[in-house]
Amino acid sequence: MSLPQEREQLLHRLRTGFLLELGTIPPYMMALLSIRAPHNRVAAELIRTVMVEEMLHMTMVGNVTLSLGGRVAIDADHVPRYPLSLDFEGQRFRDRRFDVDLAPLSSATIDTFMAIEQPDGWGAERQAMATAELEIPGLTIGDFYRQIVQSLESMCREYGERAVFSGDPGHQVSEDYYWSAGGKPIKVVDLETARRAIDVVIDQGEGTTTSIYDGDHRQFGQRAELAHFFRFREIHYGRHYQLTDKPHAPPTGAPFEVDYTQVFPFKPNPRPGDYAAGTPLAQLNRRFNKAYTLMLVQLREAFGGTPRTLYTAIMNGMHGISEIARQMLALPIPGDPDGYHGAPTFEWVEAR
Amino acid sequence: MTPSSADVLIIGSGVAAAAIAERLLRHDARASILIVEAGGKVKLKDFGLWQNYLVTGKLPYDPYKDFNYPDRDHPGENASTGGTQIPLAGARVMTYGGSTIHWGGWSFRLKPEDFRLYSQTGESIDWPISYSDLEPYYSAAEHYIGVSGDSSDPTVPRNRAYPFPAFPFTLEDQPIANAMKACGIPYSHLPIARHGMTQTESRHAPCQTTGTCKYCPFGARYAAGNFLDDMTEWGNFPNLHLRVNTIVEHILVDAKRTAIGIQVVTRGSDVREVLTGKTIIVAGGTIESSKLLLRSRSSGWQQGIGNDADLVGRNFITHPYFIFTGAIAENPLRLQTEMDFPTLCSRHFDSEAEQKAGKFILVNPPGVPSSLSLVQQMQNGVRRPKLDAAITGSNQIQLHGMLEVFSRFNNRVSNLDRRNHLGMYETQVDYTQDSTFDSRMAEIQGHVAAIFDKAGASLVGKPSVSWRADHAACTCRMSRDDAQGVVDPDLKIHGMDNLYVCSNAVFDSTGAVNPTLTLTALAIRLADHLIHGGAAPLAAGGPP
Amino acid sequence: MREQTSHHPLSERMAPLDPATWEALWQLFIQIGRFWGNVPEPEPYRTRFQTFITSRMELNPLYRELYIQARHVIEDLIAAHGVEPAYEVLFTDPLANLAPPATPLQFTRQYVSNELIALQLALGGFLAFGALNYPGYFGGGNVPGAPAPYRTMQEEP
Repeated sequence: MSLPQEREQLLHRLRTGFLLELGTIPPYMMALLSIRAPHNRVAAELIRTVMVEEMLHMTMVGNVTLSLGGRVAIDADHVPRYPLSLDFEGQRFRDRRFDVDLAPLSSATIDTFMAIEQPDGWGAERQAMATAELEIPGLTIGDFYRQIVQSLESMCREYGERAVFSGDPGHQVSEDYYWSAGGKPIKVVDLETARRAIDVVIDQGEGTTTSIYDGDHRQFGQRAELAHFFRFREIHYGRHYQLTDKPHAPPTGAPFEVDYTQVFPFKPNPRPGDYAAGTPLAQLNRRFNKAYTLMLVQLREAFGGTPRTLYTAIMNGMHGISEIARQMLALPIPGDPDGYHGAPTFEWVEAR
Repeated sequence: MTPSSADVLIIGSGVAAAAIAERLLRHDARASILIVEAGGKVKLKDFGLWQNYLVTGKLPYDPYKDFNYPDRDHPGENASTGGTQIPLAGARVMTYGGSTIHWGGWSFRLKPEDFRLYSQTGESIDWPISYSDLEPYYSAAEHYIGVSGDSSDPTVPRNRAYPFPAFPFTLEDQPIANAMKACGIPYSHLPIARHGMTQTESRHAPCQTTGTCKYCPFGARYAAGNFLDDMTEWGNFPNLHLRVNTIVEHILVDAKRTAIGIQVVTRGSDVREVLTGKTIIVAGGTIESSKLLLRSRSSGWQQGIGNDADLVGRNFITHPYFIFTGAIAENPLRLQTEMDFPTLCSRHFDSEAEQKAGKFILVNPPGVPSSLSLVQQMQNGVRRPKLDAAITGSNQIQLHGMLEVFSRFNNRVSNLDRRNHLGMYETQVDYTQDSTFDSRMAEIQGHVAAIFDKAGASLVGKPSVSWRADHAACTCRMSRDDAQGVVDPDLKIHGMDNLYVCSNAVFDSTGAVNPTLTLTALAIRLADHLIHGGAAPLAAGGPP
Repeated sequence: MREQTSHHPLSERMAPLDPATWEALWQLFIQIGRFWGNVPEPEPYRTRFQTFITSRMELNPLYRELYIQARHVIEDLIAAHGVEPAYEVLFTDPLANLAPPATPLQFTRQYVSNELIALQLALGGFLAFGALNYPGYFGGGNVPGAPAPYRTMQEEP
């Protein structure tokens, strides 16, 4: 294969990675927004920090894409759909053989979130799966990213780093574009920075099987923070971890309130047909999808050579859709037998 | 529905309220706190409102500012009756988050000698606390509001670094910096309340040098409203409550020494009710705090709470803010507005040597050459060649600054018996500047002219001087002796057991610098005092 | 009590802006950059321009009418003068800038064209005039060790 061919293969994988990271944000966002304030404040904060870090992961994957001279793909055919099935080339990821719903906060939702962020090699169930490896081909997310690093390494050996990392670094989202999260974007200019960027994605999500903390304190010199999986385990147990807690044991720190009844109920994976035409919920949903689509287009631009657009995507797009979603969640669907409230459908609609 | 009672009832929702609440809640997340705000809530960090400000200059909180004084053609509001008019319009914002919604964020510490003004000069009174008493709280305040500054700047002693590094001097600073150097006048980085890049997770975004600081789209410039939102929306503080559009009519006193609650009215209605608190903190800014005490009369306090010595509302001062303009023949560096906050200042004249005559600071403002506005010229249809010529051609530079003035017993604020557009009692300001003011300004002009001369600029006309009440202070001074001031060194009103004032009103003097950082330090210190049972000795709180 | 927000209640029932008006506004944005020679490649600004137009209408639904009117004003100017002279009239006619606006041309200049000038400069149009940062531009943070997001003072040797 030639460099352009290998690059195109890798960019294809990176596009999957980008959609994977992007696709986890709406489920986290909806679980978070479903919470009725002032209840479940600790859980809300934990979910919020994970959500913000998923935006960082998306940025890292975007930067690796740009470093190779590629562009991320977001369009009518490349958007997350819910229930989200996490697969690659028609195969479910081995550690993601389940669907992710847009759903209110519940015990089941937290179980799914733990499954999304589950560390490689966690628990008996995983080992059973490993024995079946021969029969069930497929990757874990960690493997998927590690393979990307391996491909980069082999390409660099063959063609040299300068030829591989041919993208304009000025097009990437750099440190000063990002805020309010554990960690910051890494500009990818060579193999070393590519490895660091991808390691953040792997470590923050999965932690390691020997530690409940992510690798941030090594990467970024900050205080040790819980890996995503363990933040969700805190919610699951309604209890904080202590510094001395071991990964496989439940947390033993201070308890906190988790009340799954204090949420706005909505039908998982809502559809536009759930809201009668002309009703406020239908109007809000239309507004939501227009704003959501424009935000996605702006994300595509931000990771397509105009990084400054990321500000508008977040300040206008992300904040704007959150507000509309909040309004929808507060509105019961008139006459709904299950007492469901509204929730946005997260659909691509033609811009304007 | 918010409750009508709390352990700690705070009147006003500005930086003092936010900092006290934050400190109390950090100590005890279940602390019972009710914050009462007269004004309404303005949405912050809203992209549409930000864009509107960007293209029209209209700020969404403008409706919560004072109207101008009445004149022949306009009904206006408030009254300025002394020899010097003290404008209120634009000085403060009566809204959720208080005046931090519009402040510039200049975050200076007072200097040690400022706490000994009487001993040094015979003016006003000394503070009953020293710089070293307040130093740990200054650090806590800098970390709380998020100040970017130069930790190696020796201007004032410090034991803890700023949370964020200083912003580098701008190219616009260059002519003034070189001129100051030539004049032997040292300069330094202006400490500014702009959040920087954090090493840890934070909901407060760093400054993106967007240049629209009066309505920051990120909330990077400290605004109490953002911090209050943060506490109420994300904090796990079940007993923290806020009420907006709630005007306090007066404070209710039981026996003479105990405040039991406040009489409030909902803005725009006749709905009145009583809110009660075990501890009540008046944190409504210098003017409103003083007026509230004055109109809270009872059998025990016939002249208003804390006013037996006729000191409430008196000794009013603010900073005269001066602007000198110089003409320059050309602008080869194409200096243009790149930032919306200043990065260079000089506290050379903010010194013991100048204290008796009146200290002053000098600040190189952003946004000069002031005559050049790309947007205005393009909107006026000026074509490109003329625009380029205007950028490099003759222009102006400016130096801004503030001068310390001293308290006089007869300068005061009080209530008028009519309501402003927000439903609050109107204000009367009675102020007359000292007869020495003009000669002091002439001395300052001499220094500025020398700097301009070295910068190749010639002074244009007289300086403009604004007496706007932005830094109104000293109307409820802090003292050990109740004959000298209104509150004690713990900010508790002399003669009261549970009523405190936390605003610039408790300052004994303001030096030549912006008061907000000092107020924030005092607020954190007050919270520590309350945490330690409200009777802890001074500085027993230890370093925060 | 209702917070002040950028979303006007009347905007909820507002009909979408028609494609021809969108196009006319985008052409106006492009022509600003052409007339002043400060934005040679406007395409990267397009979606941020869309965000701006949308938020103006949501803030005040009257903008929808102003934008539709602007399209007709510009069409009439083009019919009378040709394309480039039409925009020159819009941008430079001193009468069009007389406040308060009374004619369609004056409304178009003051509420549509002048606002797009302000937006265009803040999005990056200012860069052509020699600065690195500008009020309204997302310049970037103060990152230790990295170049400042604005022009800085050169210390004298």
